[in-house]
Amino acid sequence: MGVERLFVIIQEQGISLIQRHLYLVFVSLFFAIIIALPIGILVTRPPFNRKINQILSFLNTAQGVPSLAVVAIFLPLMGVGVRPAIFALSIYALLPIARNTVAAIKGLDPDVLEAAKGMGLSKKEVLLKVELPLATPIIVAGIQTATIFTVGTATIAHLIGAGGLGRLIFTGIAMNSPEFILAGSLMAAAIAITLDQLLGLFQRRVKRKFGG
Amino acid sequence: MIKIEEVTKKYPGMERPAVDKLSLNIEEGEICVFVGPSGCGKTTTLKMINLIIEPSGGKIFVNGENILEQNANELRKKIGYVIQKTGLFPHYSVFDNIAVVPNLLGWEEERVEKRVVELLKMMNLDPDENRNKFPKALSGGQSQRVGVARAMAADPPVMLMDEPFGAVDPITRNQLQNEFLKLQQKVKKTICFVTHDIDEAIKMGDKIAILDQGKLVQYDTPENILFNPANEFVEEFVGSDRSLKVLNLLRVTTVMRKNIKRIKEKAGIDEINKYFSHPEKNRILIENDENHVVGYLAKEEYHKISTAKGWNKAIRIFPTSLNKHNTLKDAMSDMLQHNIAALPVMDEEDKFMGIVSFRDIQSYIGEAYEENENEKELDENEVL
Ligand SMILES: Nc1ncnc2c1ncn2[C@@H]1O[C@H](COP(=O)(O)OP(=O)(O)OP(=O)(O)O)[C@@H](O)[C@H]1O
Ligand SMILES: [Mg+2]
Repeated sequence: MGVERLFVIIQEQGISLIQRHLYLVFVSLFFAIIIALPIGILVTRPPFNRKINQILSFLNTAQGVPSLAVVAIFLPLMGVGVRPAIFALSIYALLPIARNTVAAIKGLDPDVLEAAKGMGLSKKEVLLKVELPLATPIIVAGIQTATIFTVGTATIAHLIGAGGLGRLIFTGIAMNSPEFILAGSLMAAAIAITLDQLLGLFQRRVKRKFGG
Repeated sequence: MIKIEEVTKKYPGMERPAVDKLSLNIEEGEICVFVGPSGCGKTTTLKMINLIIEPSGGKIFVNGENILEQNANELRKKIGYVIQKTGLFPHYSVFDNIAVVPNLLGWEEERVEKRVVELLKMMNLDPDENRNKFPKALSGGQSQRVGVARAMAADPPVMLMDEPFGAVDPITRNQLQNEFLKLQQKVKKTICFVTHDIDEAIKMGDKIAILDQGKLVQYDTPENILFNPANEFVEEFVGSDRSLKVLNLLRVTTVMRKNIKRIKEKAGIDEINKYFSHPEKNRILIENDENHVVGYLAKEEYHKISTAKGWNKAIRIFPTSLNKHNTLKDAMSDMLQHNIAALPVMDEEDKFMGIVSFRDIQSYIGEAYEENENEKELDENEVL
């Protein structure tokens, strides 16, 4: 194995592969968030809130489905390319976000909610002024988890022709070349760590802002 | 002001109703305390008044209007609501917490600002020090104060308070109770107050409603609850130490004597001798040059001291004083603590109002039980 070779690979292919990888991650996360939040909120309203524990355990179980399986399930349905990859990644990413949204709202102090109601806040005002702000730190933590998952899972997207850092890894496996594998993994890990740190910073900030 | 008519609440799956055909009227400006054992339906009753719980039957009128015909959110903005754990918004500053309802009502910024500052002062919280704090930085007592301020923010005529002082230590609770009573004298709200503590009920209530298993057992003034319990349940609930509880109820002013002979610290012995020559006059109050009562002189002590040393040596200095809001219990407790048989009552300007003695308290309570009547004339003899 040559360290020089590793650098050459990163230098030549790094930027474009990282760009594609980040594109997959961010677009998937965007869809995941805009779908997971309303679902999470809806689940905590009547009549769904009666089944809230079942829904939470479903979300947890669904998280256990291997990412490869998720991608494989959509392959026959949507074919190959960027779009099915984003579709599968979004579904996978929305699970932790929805789960945290539900858990956060469910875990709010009932006295605070009763006080809000007792002061005459409408249901919408309670949601917007009390429930969501107080749930935000945990929801952001859910997004953080989803981000890490997605950065990792997105390497599989290469298998259905969506590109990204997975290309280096799978090429490396096919050619039995550790430099390729290592280059792909290192860059994926770097992305994961960087995003994790940034979101952690953001999460701590919102937590402080909301008096957590 | 609040009229509860045959109100019933039956929770699904429960055998007997949590509140059973409850009827009572609460007059404007009065504190009505709901009290009873755990699970008797106090909280349920309270929460039906602001429609957090919907009654299964009966009618509730607030200010003459049937609440069931009103929009719940609009109704709640006109009813202050205080709960035990305060329910302060953790993500709002003290200022913003208090400003919730005024902001909902669309008050102008300046008006909100003025009101919040006024309320913080009313609650004995320094506005500059506390307005930007977040709830988690407050002590239990401070949180309760903010909770009460928040409920009063838009000056609602009616307030509902569910064990508002239940989560703080006894000293703070006593303090909060006293402050609140003082405030209530000014603001004259109509208040429903829930507690499971009969002492608190006696202290806070103009009227007390005793509930048992969802039914109203007695609705009466604290005096009548103590002196004329409606049945054994009430008697037992009030406790065997009823006469001690009366102490908590009565203010020092009920047994205070006003017109008492006073002399100056620097008075000559002739004046004292003349006064004490009367066989029934055994005590005299001593005041300083500023007409401030400082202590008293007892005949026996006076005669023990030799004239050469100066009679001032025999003066018993008052170690502390009472104010007119103090209860007889406060007075007795101070007397026991300082080992003194009487204490002066001072007004807000620290001027002498009168004197309360152990002996007067004793005979007052004894007679109140015998004759069950409260008004008595006290003369100036044998006070100390
Ligand atoms: N949401 C509910 N569903 C079913 N039963 C309830 C509900 N809330 C209260 N109860 C029952 O109704 C009865 C009265 O409850 P409530 O909370 O009014 O009592 P309380 O007098 O306030 O008691 P505590 O002093 O313990 O606060 C209790 O037996 C309680 O178990
Ligand atoms: Mg209760």
